[in-house]
Amino acid sequence: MSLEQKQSWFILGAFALGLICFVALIPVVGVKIAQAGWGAFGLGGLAPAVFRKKRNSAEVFMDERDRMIAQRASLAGFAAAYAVVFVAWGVIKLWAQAHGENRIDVDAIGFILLYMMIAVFTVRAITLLAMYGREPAHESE
Amino acid sequence: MKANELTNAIRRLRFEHGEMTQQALAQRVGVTRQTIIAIEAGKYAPSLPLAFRIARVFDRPIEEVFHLDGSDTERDT
Repeated sequence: MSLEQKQSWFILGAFALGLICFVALIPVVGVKIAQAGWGAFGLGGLAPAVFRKKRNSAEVFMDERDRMIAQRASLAGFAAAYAVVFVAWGVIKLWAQAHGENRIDVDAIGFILLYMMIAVFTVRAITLLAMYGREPAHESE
Repeated sequence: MKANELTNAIRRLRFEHGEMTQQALAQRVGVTRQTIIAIEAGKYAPSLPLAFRIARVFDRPIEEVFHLDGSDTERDT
């Protein structure tokens, strides 16, 4: 398993933890404040520190194929974030219009940014693992 | 077989070269073993520099190692 795969699994673990915290907090503090549960997703940022190249190792950890996969996965992540931002913005504007609101809660901007970042890293991790998963991983020597 | 699919004779050439392992070939050309596996399986088309490095390891011209679908060179797969 490559470093990128290990980091992606770690990020998905952080996503699961964030989701669990978010859902667990909803009955206690309500949906709006329960968003704080997503703070656990921040642990995913430790992935490059937890899984890194060993010092003085001659082993190749990333080559042209790994870079190609990482690039495509990043593109998928940013595309997802792009969609989240604009779809969320459209939904909020339509909701405000339908309810006769002239102003939008400033927290909405924070939520859009939050879910945009979640989309970037989660979709990137899933795409990366899916791309590696298409290959025969245990071919004989 | 799909049009313009890149096939290769790496597996055969490895065995002809003292049953060279995928890991040994990977180290010789500076990539991971997973990349050699992917290339052998036709799941990944290597860059031109990498293809040349692989051909150089086997001391063969590149067209003897890699074949594009539709070409008239010998295929190994």
